[in-house]
Amino acid sequence: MKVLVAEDDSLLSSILINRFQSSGFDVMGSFDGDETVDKIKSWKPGLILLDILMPKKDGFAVLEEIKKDPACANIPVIVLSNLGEENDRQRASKFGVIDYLVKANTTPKSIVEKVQAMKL
Amino acid sequence: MARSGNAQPPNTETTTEKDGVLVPLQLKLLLILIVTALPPVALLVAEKFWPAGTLGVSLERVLGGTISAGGITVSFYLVLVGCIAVLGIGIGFILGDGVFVTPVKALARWLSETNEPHDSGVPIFPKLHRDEIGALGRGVSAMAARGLQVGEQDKTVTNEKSTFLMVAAHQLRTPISELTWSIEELLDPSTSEETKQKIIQNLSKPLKRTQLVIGHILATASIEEGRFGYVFEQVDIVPVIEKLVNDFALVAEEHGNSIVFEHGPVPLVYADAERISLALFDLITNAIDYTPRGGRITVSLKPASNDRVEVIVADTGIGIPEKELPFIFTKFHRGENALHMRPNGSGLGLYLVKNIINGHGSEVFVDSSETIGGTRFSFFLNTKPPA
Repeated sequence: MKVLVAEDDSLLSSILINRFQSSGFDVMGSFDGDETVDKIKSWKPGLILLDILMPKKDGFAVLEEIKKDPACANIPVIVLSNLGEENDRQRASKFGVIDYLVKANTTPKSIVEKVQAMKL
Repeated sequence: MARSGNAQPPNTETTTEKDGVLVPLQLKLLLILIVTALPPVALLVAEKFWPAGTLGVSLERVLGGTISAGGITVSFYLVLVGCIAVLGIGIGFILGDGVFVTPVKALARWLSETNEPHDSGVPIFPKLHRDEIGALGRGVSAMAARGLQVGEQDKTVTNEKSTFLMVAAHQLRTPISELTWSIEELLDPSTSEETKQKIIQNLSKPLKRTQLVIGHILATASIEEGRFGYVFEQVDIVPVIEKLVNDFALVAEEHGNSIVFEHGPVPLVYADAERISLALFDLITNAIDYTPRGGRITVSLKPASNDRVEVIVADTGIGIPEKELPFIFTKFHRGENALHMRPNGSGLGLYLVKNIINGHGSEVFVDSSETIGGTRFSFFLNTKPPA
């Protein structure tokens, strides 16, 4: 399965990409909101791991844009953010994200296991 | 009772514009008694002293005679006195109600409504007479206004503290994530050696970031509590800035930028070198972060008038919108362009810079152009202790 890791922190991005690649996924990274939207529309991943606080366009703006495009609207999204307040979760759930994970409270291994368990 | 429509302290306009007692309650009470008692007393006096034949009318003739009803005979005079006494009491009651009862009721109603939540607005203070009841009401209103103001200040302080804690928690979560994830990968036997080496090489990044965030948080807390002290001494600021610029050279290169330090001979400055270093650290960090690849950061030092030295940090970056310039030194403020380029900032850096430079008896000056690009921060350091 194709997985897009949208994360502006280079260390976190490389760790997550390595972990998903070594688990057999086809992975690509994006580092800001504009690049994320471009790669979603051109590469059409089967799953998006989406950070919220990114340069140029934040994760919520990315969600708003892709949900308007019928070609990408149904791609499952897991939000991976260190914004963990209830209003952030509620805002994300309005876009129909399938999960909301706080990076400081999870690890790459458990994220991969969660994705594998989802059988997407 | 009418409401002002805004959540604010009670309207104390009427309580301050007319202070003092104009007509004391004792005088009003006396007047009411006179009005009540006067008609029947006047009638009694007139009956006794009305000269016969005055105006061609004899009072005896007017007041004489009897009235009979139901087998009871009463002199007309007594009936008249009775009616006038009742009339007097009625007038006295109405006046007394207006002077004593109505204002007290209005005040009680206002107090009751003021104690309710103020989402729909604060009740307007009733109009009271300038007597003791009015003075009492105005005093109570002023006390309530002071109490509400203290409550609003407490709410502002609590809100600020909440924001501070949220920003601090969020800022620390990112380096914690980096460390947690790095450790998990290093401990996992399935992680390749190449990946492990890359992780080890980058481990200092989250540690430095944590140091920076904690430093900012502690410094801000110290400033807020008045504990952010300075140790002033005569110091050669050139090597201090030189070291800082050298430390940043690699960081600037990773961002695709260059950083240079320009200076000629400058006198010693009277400053806290560590605090100035912290201020410059924040200014240079911002300059690098908000300058796109291919840009240049210049730190300059030059003598200035009035026994001062000018320090300048200039970049060729994205600039600051003019409308945001008045707010950039405000705690937690993140400008539009800043959020666009570096959404994870704390909004504390420039607040600290301003406080440090103010602590050295100077101001921070900023020149920025969003259209041309580039921002220039500058401040002065004294070369001598203040007189």
